[in-house]
Amino acid sequence: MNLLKLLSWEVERVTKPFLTLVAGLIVIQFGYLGYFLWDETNFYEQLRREGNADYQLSFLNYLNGTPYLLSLGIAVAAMLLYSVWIWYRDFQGRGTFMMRLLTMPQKRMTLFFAKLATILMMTLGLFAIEWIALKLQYIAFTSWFDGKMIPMGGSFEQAISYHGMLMVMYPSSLINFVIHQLIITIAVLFIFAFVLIERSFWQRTMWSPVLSLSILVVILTIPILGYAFLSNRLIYDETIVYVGMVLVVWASVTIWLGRRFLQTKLNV
Amino acid sequence: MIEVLGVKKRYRRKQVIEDVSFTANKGEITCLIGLNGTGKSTLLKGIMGLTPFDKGSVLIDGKPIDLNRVAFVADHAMFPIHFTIEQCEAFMKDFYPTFDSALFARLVEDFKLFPEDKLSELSKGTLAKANLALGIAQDPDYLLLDEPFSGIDVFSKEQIVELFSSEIMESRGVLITTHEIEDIEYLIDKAVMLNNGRIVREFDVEDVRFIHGKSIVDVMREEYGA
Amino acid sequence: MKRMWNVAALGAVIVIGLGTFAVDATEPKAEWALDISSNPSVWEDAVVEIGYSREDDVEQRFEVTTEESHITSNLNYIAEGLRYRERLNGDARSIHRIMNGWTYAQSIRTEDGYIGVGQDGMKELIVFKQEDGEKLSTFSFDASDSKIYDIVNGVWAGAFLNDGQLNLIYRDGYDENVKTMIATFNEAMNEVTVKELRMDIGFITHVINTNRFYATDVSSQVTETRYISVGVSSYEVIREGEEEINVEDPDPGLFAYDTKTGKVVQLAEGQGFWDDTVSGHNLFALNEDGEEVVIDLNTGKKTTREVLDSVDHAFYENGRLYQTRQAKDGVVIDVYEDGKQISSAAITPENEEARDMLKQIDVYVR
Repeated sequence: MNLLKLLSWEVERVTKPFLTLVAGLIVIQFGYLGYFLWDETNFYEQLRREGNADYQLSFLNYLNGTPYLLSLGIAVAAMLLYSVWIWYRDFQGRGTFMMRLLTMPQKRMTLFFAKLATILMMTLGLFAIEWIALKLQYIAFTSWFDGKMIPMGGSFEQAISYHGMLMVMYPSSLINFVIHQLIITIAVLFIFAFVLIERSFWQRTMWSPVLSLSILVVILTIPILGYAFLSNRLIYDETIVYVGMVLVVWASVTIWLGRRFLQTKLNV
Repeated sequence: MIEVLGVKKRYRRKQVIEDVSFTANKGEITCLIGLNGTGKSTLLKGIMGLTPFDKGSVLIDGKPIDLNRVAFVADHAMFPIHFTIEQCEAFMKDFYPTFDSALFARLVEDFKLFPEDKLSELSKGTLAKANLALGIAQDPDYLLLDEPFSGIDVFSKEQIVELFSSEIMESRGVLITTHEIEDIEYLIDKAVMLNNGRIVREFDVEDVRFIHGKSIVDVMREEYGA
Repeated sequence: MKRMWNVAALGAVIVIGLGTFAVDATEPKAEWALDISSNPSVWEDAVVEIGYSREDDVEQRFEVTTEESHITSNLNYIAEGLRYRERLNGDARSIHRIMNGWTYAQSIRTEDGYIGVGQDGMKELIVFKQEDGEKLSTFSFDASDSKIYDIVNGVWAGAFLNDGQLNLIYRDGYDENVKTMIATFNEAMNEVTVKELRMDIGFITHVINTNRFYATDVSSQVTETRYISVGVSSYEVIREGEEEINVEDPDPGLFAYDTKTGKVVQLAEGQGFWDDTVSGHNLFALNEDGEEVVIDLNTGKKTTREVLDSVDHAFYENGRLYQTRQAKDGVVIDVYEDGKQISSAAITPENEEARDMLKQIDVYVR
């Protein structure tokens, strides 16, 4: 119950910045789509006048445009920053909220999981909104070019599956989607572990960011080095099992570290 | 009884607390006295687990600390400063099963606080009163106060001092740190004097007053040579 | 409690957005059936592969057997791993493992299992041999030896067995300086001798039944014969302005390397062949008129027989000839053995999704 209550406080605190981010993304994407449709139509009309209009547009052309990619980049950067800020802001400022959060009669891990759940809900929210936005953009795209009698190639599914970033965000298999989300969760767990280790050492050594970063780099690289060593010994199905095990180890180690530092080492 | 047993704490190369042990009883006001930077705040934060001690332990009535029974009031907000007093109350109600809304309402009235005020808009004195109200409304057995009087106006001080002598505080144990001892000299039951992270003196205030005829400030002068 | 509404609202957004995504991702998949009209025993162990393509891109793949139909493209990581595991039978696992990290390998299958040659970058030449379908022995030659260096740098055409010894045919040099070479490994596979194979024309491009790396699903086994069926190409010089470019052009006809004389001979005249295969000691080839040429690779004797009226989508697999054709409600597959039709079956759509794809599928049997 405390987890849910904390989650609702966290979500309330992030509502405004989150809506700003969503609004920004939508403005960039639809604004660029408008420009793209207008620009391509002009170009096609020019070709038609010159009599060599054997030109086909696909939704992928729009998705590969810099402003669209930039909007995705902004969302990723914002989420990474917020994963750090969700902890640091409670250590900052005149009201050190972290003191309250840590002295509440509850397990400190509740706080950890509430913050994790907040980040995951925001990420899933962005994935959901972007999916709907993509569908709407596709409808706008096809109905505009249909109206202008400009030929189009490729389907919505094809555009997604050929797009470097969208094929990872929206894979054609649901199980892969879940696996990708788990990988995102692990990335967030690494960031959380970084902050908690750094905040545990900051009053003891000025090198605390370097120290905590090195600890995590070691945890991150051991399995990768292990893979470099094993890659000639493991065949495809075994590699998949290895990667699965590494993900489980990463998740457990980062949660364990987060728990250890949050419960016994954190310095406010 | 709060028992602090052989605690130590170091920051970088500086030993901030060096083997400190003392007790604070329920129903009494114990004051940690020391000049600035003598480790008073670190001790309080250490007791609350906010800056873990390197060594030693803290027991509350013989058991590890139970956060339902101990409240900590810092010298700053402990909430995001854009929160209103009302929001703080709502938050406390959500997470402290012992939070006493009626008591809080009474304190808000006594202290003449406005629930819709944002923490960022409060004067230092009003903020101190709001913090205290939130802490006391947790209805704790023990209350840890970190510099409740520092930099606040005369009237706020008076209101707080009045509260200390009221029946609301009667049965609670209070551990308070301050370097402005004059204001509460007559409320204190026990004093623990710190210097450079060590206890230099621990005494019953009444004994000193009646047997030796000295005030706390006199003892401070002796100890700190000020 | 009012704050819970924020969580509920965000939750609702997630459910709606990802719900539509999930509905799209779990769309029903096409289902196919294998309807056998005659001689079901032919189809007992057969797997029919279907490729659906749109705008020149293969979008979906299916596998259909007498029992089931399932999609094999766009699988999730776990299903992909399981499918890989399923397809590796006993002897293939060790061969996959040994070839891990190799840059190139060629192998053939004998009764005993795989035998072949591989390389690890330009550092080593490795020969491997399986005994009783299990035990795998290897021997590595260091490429610092100039003879080995030449083999490793050559363009490999393929491998064959002669007198129990493994031979590798490869090309050395480029353009007009190209030489066809043959490396023979002794039976213990720890020594190699190299000699040039004198060609009247062109060079050898491939040796039939040789697999790149490994082919788990190729069941055809190599039997030792006097003639080894090979492909021969020559360079054709094309002028582009000032520049002369050598382009590889396959020579028409059927060729073989004669192990007795050490020469390449032409087994059939210069005509185009649709597909060819070796089964047992016979070479089968289908020409564009639907005639099948059968050559005994021990004697070189050639016979010809009429098999198909016309050739459209025909291929050899496991010593049989398959021809597929689009019909109104499915793709018909006719099977021929020894010049006679032995069975007919059809791939038919089982649901609406499959019906929509029917006109754009390619069918293959393995």
